[in-house]
Amino acid sequence: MGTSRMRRRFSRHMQRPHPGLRAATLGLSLAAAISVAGAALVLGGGSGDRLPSQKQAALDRIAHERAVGQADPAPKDPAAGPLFSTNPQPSAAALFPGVKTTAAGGGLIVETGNGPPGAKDSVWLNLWQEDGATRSVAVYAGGVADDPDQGLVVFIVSGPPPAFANTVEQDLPTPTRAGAVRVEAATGEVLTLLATDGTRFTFDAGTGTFR
Amino acid sequence: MAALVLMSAVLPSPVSAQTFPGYSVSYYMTSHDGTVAYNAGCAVGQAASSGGRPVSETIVMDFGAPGYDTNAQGQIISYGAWFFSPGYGYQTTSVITNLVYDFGEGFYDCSTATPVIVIAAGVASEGAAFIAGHGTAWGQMVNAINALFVSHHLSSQVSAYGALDAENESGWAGYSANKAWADAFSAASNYLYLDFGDAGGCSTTSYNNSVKCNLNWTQSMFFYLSWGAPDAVPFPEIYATSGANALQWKMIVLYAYVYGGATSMDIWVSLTQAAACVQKGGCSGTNNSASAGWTQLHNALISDSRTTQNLNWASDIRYGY
Repeated sequence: MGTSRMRRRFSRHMQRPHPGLRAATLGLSLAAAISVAGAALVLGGGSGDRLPSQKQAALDRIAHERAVGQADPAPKDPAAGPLFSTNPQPSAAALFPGVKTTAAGGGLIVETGNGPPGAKDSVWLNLWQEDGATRSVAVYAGGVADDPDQGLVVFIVSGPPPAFANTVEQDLPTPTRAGAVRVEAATGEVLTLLATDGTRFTFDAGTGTFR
Repeated sequence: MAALVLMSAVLPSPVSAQTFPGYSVSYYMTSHDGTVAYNAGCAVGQAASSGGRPVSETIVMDFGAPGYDTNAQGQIISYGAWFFSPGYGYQTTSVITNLVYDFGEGFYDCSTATPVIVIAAGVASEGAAFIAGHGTAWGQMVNAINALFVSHHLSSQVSAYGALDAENESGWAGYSANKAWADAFSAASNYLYLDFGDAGGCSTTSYNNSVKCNLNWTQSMFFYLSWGAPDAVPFPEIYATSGANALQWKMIVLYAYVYGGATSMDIWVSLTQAAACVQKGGCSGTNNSASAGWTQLHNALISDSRTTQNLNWASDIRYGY
């Protein structure tokens, strides 16, 4: 954390002490919501009926906190950057808790059944991932949930860490119907996939194609 | 009288037709880096200040599958989520707290005083770690994020909710696990969570709970996870270009009205995945634009006096920032 940011955080903390939430009564919250009508647009919608009590209480709390913030806003200081500029990267053991990992080729086989973003109607056996200097690659291996004979690979490429920008994803069925697949081994970026019927496929993670 | 006039600005009355309000961008989270998050929030704040995005928006940050870590005795020592970039693997709720804060701080610092944003930190209803303890930890995490926004005097423009991608998918958690998570979150959190899941296989024409959805789920289950649970608010996936998703959710709202004991079930946001579909090279039949998804849901809801309501926001999800 740099000196300038330290100073700004000190300013945000110390020069304008936060009054706390003890005064968060419904009356105050409602008044706050009225006083920030523009901001209140974010606090609901729908039918206009009064909400169930706990939902309403949550919105009242947000409205109160908005009013508190309006009364005592922090200075805007984009030059100072984020408060938590670096979240420490955990150790490999902490990164994959309870999950077996194996170094394979240029990357790592991760024995997790987690799927890629938004994956539906599919099952996942494991994945291979590689974070390089110029790009990050992930190959999720599994199959189609309602078609057990059809193996499936999801191939994801993005920019390198930490931003992982410009993500591109491809869903790639195995060339033949041999069941769900798992990553068995890798040489460089060439993966060997083992299907449930024993068939082996070769997948080139450099090009994103089956050989 | 003045108070009444002001109140009407706070609690909008239902109207027969709205215009598309624009849309926010939600994220499948890939990076846990604070500076990257700050810069992304900054860009959103700048856009919201210059008319490039809605001045009031709600976004989901989807952190992937729930996770936990254990010690040598098998006791859970942290909860968190599996990021969508495998290289970042599992990250704790502490890291996620910092990350959401950094994004919000970037939004605050780079915007004028007008725009506001709600950042909903989400997980999917899948995996062995999707348990009540995770819901409790996630609810406490949302409390901690908002406490940071307040203590650092950013809360005039930035707030946090939880979020849950509750789905009846093969291989995902069943309803009982979803309910346990929803109840635990509601008990632990002072804030709402947005259900940004689907209603897979539910009826587009019937609302009496008798027609089963996929995997024998029912409309009453989706109603509970998206509205019946004390902290739940729906943020449904309206992906299908056919309009089927919008009709499914209209039927759930109608179920709520007729059978669910809810005088109204309010849907605040429609979610689409057009940007993610471009990144994936296409999603046949499920690539509604933000405008199309919002329009389908809006039109479905206002087509019946029992479900009519404002739909104030739309969001479209993508991979990374």
